[in-house]
Amino acid sequence: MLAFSSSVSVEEVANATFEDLTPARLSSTVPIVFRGLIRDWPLVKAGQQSASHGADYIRQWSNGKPVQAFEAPHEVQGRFFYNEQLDGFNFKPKNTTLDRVLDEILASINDEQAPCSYLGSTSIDHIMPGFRQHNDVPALANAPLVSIWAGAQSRIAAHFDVPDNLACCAVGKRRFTLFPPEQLENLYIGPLDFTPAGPPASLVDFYQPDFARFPKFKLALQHCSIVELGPGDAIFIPSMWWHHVEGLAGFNVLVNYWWRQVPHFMGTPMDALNHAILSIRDLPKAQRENWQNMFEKYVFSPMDTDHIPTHRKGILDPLDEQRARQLRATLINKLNR
Amino acid sequence: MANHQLLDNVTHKDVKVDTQMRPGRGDDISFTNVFVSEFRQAQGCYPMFFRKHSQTGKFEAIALFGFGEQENLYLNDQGWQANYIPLSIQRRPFLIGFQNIQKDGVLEKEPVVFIDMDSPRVNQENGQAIFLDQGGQSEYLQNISSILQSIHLGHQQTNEFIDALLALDLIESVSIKVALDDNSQHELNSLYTINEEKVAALDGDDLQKLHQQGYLRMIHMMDASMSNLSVLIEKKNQQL
Repeated sequence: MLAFSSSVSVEEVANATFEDLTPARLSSTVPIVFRGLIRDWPLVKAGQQSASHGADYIRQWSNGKPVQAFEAPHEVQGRFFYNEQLDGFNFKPKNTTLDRVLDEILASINDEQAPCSYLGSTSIDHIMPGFRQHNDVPALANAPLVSIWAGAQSRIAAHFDVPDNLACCAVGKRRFTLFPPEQLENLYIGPLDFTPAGPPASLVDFYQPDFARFPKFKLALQHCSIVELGPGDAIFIPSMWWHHVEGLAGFNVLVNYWWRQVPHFMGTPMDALNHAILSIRDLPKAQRENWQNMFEKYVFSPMDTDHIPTHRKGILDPLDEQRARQLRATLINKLNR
Repeated sequence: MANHQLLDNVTHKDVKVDTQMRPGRGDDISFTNVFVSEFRQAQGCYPMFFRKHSQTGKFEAIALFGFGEQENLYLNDQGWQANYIPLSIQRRPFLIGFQNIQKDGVLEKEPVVFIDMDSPRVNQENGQAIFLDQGGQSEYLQNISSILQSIHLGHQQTNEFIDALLALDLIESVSIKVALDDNSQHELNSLYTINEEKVAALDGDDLQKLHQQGYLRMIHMMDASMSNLSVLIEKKNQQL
């Protein structure tokens, strides 16, 4: 159980339809809940009959390709995380198939000693081609990555994703615990270069927060929003919002859409952060502050460059694909030393 | 013994590879795999055959270097005496391996580079640095990566070529008998080649298909490579 309650309410659209997914809402800077958005999906209807009906519906579309799932001993109680010493993880990846993971999850519902299997972020087009012809969100049909997640009771530590996210609870029940991006410092984020599943994650156990170790987490809680999604509900999570995600029912299936509001040629901000750590963070203070100003004037609030002839602005102009290519080539060359 | 380690720029930062070709560095072998992508270069230097892989029993294309088990007649103290060295020799002491990674929600096998740390080429003093001073990839390593990539593709392409030949029953067993100047006789068994008579007798459709796939050219190159048998015999005679 969560050890705290919601402090900030989240905007909700009741009886949502796909028309409610306006461009403005899909580029919102705060989360929005869409109740019942995907209630007509055949998967949602199958899952409402029973867990095994839901699993059978998914199996219909499975092409049997190998997938990577995670398995944790039952003692972990679905909290897929680091181990105690933070020198490894409390779960193991395994190569399996969608059908096998579904079998294991269903079998574990009535077996308290069973290990906990979890399928995270797996491309639907890759392992369930055809599924989206019957279960899709039209406004996001062209999203670059549409994934399925399946598990028994589970919880995933608070983390952020760089893309914008529409997470749809198809089967079971999910709880999202959300914090605005600027709560970074109060969430006690773990290592950047050793993470349970890609993005860096909060070290705070939300079921038993250790306030002696993580005192500022109390400040974070003042900005916390908790949202529960039932079958058919969806939530828009803006880029970079911290989210702790729990599967609460015996069998939970989530479908999510990830997309970015910028062209594909743009780089990955996390790469830029790593590069800045490599090149800037350990500079003498005065030099670092000069670079802070450079970043401010060239990156965060670009200054006027009208004094440069238009044809010579180069990368000071908004990037296009060609400039991005040139810049990428330069960086690759310079980095290799 | 081999000691294959996943290459990384911390563990192997000071490792150098002596790329000089000399006897006693693991290249004293009588044949190696060749791939269709290098048939053109290889056929100018080596006789090329097929053989069955000792474990899988599947056909593979090889370039022949000698008559005895560890005899490489192209290799002496002056180096490797040929204009072209096959990719599967050039890659040494590196190998390609595969790691499972989940990328954009898809489980993929990502090629990674391994190094055989027990290779006599590996040391810390002489030869090519693998990494640049600050951990970047040296030109040498970039070249190795592209060789490994070519080999990876080459396996697939060469298997397809061999499957096309097998489908038309064009591969036949061959026994090579060699008489040397000292009157000694050597016999090479377990080799296979293309039956040129069967190729000549192919009907228009099959011939056209082989031509379109570029395989007819490969067949002719394997045939042309046989002239290198006399080169090999000459090298052997010079050693007598």
